[in-house]
Amino acid sequence: MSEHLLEVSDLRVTMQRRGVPITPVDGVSLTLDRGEILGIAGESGSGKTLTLRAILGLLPRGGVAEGDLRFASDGGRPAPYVPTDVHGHGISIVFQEPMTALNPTMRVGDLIAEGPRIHQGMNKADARARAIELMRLVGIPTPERRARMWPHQLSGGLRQRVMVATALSTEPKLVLCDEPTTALDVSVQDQILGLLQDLRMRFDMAIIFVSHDIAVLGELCDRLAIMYAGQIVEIGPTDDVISRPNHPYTAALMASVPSFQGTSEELQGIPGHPPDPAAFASGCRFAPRCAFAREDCKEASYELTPTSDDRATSCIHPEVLAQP
Amino acid sequence: MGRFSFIAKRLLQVIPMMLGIILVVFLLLQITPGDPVRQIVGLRATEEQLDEVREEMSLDDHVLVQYGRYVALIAQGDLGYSYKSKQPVTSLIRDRMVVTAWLLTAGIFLTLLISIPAAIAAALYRGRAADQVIRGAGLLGLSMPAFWVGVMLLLLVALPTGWFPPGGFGETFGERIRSIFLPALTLALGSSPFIIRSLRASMISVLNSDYVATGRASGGSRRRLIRRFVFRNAAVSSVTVLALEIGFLLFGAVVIETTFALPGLGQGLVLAARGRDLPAIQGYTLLFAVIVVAVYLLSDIAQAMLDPRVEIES
Ligand SMILES: Nc1ncnc2c1ncn2[C@@H]1O[C@H](COP(=O)(O)OP(=O)(O)OP(=O)(O)O)[C@@H](O)[C@H]1O
Ligand code: SF4
Ligand SMILES: [Mg+2]
Repeated sequence: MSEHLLEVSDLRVTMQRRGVPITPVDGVSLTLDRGEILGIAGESGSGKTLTLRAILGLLPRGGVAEGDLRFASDGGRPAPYVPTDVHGHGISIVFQEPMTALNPTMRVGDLIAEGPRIHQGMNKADARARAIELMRLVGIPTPERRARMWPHQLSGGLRQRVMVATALSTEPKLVLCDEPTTALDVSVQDQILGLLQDLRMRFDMAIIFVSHDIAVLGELCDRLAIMYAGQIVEIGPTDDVISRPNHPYTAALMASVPSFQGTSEELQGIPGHPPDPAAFASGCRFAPRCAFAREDCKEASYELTPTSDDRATSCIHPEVLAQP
Repeated sequence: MGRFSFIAKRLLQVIPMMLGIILVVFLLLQITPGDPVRQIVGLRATEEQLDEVREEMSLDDHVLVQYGRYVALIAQGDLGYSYKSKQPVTSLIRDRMVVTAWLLTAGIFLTLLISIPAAIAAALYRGRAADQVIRGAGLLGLSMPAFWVGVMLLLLVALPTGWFPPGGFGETFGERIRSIFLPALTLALGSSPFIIRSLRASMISVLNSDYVATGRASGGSRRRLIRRFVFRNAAVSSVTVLALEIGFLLFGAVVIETTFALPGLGQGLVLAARGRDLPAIQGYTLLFAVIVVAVYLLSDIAQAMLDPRVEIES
């Protein structure tokens, strides 16, 4: 029986927008096993980034997270933590844009060495050697030379590898990846994904991988969570969720992906706009856009209901999706 | 490395800039109403005497020739002779320059000593009490003119305590420190609000950046975070503001030197202007312009040292 590595229960993030509080993440619960890769998909603004940031206490200014966060830091049971406990001790993060996520005034080698210097108490020379070792691990050619370069002197792909090396430098058990490949071109993207999979195998590292790209998620992830309007509306094994959605939003999302449609004649976006946190609908938040919406949907309170051992949906009428 | 070629390029740009500045200073003489020769020889001189001096000064040559000669003289460090004291302008300026250099250096030092901690505190505790207090103090500093601050410091600090001389410039190092402290503080009180405001704003935007989040995620102390991730990045954009500010400080120095009876450049300029001593006015103007150019150059160099990306953006 596998012990969870991470448990997030009823996570709520409140932000201030021009003095008015909004709740862009509203009751997210999820668990993650050791070495597992969980994907999170959802339209822009659904709260994916804020969820990841809340797990590490790195919310933008004015943001407040509530909810129960537990992490199994020393191989034991998951225990409540405050973010600074896990910074450099178990959880790392890789941001979407490696240019803005790497300090422009520190040399690449020093950036990667920061974690080892703080947490392993390494001196400068040892930490530098460790940085070069990490750069080699993530496949950066001529690491000795590149360690002395500035972030802006590297290509996007190399920068993201540096970001990954920085995240790995403290030997985390969990890496949070916020669209780490969106800013990169396809071949580089494949390399980074390959790298992450490889690292997961070697170090039994768990990953939460946020992306818009269902194809990427389908390839990489063990399980997939779909977010809509600050809530997880469906979660389950990746293949099941993709091929047999239990939530109309998931189905609509899959229909909008060209590669899952066979021929790409009609690439249908989801009609309507993703809702703004200041105006989430009451009841099922997807109801205003849902082709199957009924009267009772507008009163349905949010609950992620299991449909089988390993799947759950928040839709109260999942049967509408049953294949004829 | 690219950054150093950037600095070399900036150094080269200084040459045409200096020629332009010298041209403006040269034209000062041309556009000043009245006959400069008359000013030198006095009202009672005869026409022959006037012609003689005019000849001597080659004022009948073409303007461009005169300008060329002027540039050549300046290049050799010759700024002409004061109408009043008949001394070379360079020797007038030399002693005064030392005083003003002290004042500016000490003023900048105190400005940074006040601004950096205040800006860090204001940025870290933004919106809270410390920030409000610093903002209020800044507004207060801005609303008080330098001469008034100077007089107040004299009345409230110098006279009652007797620690600082009420005016003049000392001879020994210790005396100089004491005589420069209050003027420099006056200068710093006027300029700190600008630096604090700019540094606070850039620190806040840096604090909100992704790379500081990355830095926080690496789990070091807050002190380490500020030192390695925040401060240098915030300083990059504030260096330019500091340079602009020094330009203003220079003119602040004119007022402050008068208030504290410091025999510096500002005081010299005031005296020269009062005596319509054109060569001296030209000399001071030229020097002020050179200082401003030098400060901007230094700020560009400082920026290039602080920010490894400078080569790309320029
Ligand atoms: N700093 C902030 N202040 C106020 N509101 C914010 C802030 N950051 C995000 N939000 C709001 O929170 C909501 C969720 O944002 P989040 O960045 O988590 O979305 P996302 O799912 O990551 O979207 P994307 O796919 O575009 O990255 C958005 O509607 C956004 O308007
Ligand atoms: S609950 Fe109703 S409105 Fe919401 S997704 Fe299911 S069917 Fe559509
Ligand atoms: Mg995002």
